[in-house]
Amino acid sequence: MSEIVERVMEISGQNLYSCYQCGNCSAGCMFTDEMDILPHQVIALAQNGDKSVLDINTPWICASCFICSVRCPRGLDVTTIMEALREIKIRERNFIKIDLRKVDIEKLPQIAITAAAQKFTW
Amino acid sequence: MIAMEVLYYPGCSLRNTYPEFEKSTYEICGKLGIELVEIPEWSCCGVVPSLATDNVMRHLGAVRSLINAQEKGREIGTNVVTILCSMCYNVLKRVNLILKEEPDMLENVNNFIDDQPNYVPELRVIHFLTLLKEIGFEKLEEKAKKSLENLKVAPYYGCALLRPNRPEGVSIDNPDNPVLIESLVRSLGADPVHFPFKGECCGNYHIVLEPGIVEMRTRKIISSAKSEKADLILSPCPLCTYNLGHGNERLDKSEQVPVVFFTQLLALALGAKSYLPTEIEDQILKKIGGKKSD
Repeated sequence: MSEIVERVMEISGQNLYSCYQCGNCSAGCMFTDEMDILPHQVIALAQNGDKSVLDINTPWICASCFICSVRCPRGLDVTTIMEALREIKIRERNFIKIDLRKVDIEKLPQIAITAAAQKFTW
Repeated sequence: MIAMEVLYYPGCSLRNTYPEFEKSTYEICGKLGIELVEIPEWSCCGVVPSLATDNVMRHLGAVRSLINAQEKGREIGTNVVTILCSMCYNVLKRVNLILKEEPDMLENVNNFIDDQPNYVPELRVIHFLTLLKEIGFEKLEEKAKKSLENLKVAPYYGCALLRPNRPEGVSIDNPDNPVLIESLVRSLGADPVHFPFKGECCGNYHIVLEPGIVEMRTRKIISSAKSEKADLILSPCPLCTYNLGHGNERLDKSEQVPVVFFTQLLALALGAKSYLPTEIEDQILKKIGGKKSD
């Protein structure tokens, strides 16, 4: 098993191989307009152990709305797989997605900043 | 009067961003005889829990609040915790369910938190809408002072009241077609519109780094409500409310739909202080005009 498959499965607790590429997650996703590749394609790359899956924007565009996870006919928690892909990057030394010092704390509500900090920092 | 005491977790947004959400709720509870007993020393829930199976640290804030709730509950004799903010609800509900289902995680957490009593996952965490449903919407109907007849509302649920479906029990209603808020507003005489975007995501935390995504999402949600001629969008969530407000600001006046917390409309119907902006309250009163019972 490739390293990427192992880490995604370990962090997410999900069996990547249970996905049979039906595309239901991509059909229901509300954010595909902004994504490099579709959610089911992300799973396919990850299944193949393709490291380029860590460099596409799709997991970062995912807003953790869980529509895909609720609708997956295989019971796969796709949202959590996206989180695992983000986590792999976030846990790398020197990786910075958000600089909280530059966030406009006067304008944005605390709930938004806290949520972004939770999702984009370790 | 119902006269009941319920543990209450307020959350940060109700204290520093949208006090009207909490104040209107206290008004409702005053009318219904519900006493909200605030959990002592509650802390931030974390807004979005970590989904990583190996990251228990991020659940700890929620667990500490649950322990404080447990202790207070033992004192007053209840195990029910109610929450208004849908994000806080989602986090505390999920963490509570995970601790019930996973004894290893519970043990781990209890070993780590050595300055508080152990958590025994016996609390029941429910959203305020669920509490109202259990009390019975007919009670609201009985207590209502103003009929909301002629008022068209778009009940928005967002994500956090409906998903995920694991652990089981997070959703306050059918996640694909919830009707709980519809039933609530119908009992007050209002007319809930067909609103296919009611369970769609507002863009969540993307408001911080990618506000364009929030604009794209909220435009669709607001337009859907507008096309059904909704007078208001009812929100259960401080973050959705902020994002929908952000969306409204980027639309022409004629395309906007005001967003209010469901508790504000309910308080108005019960003849209590709604904490609505004067302009919106006037619009509602004009719409239901002639139907005022007081």
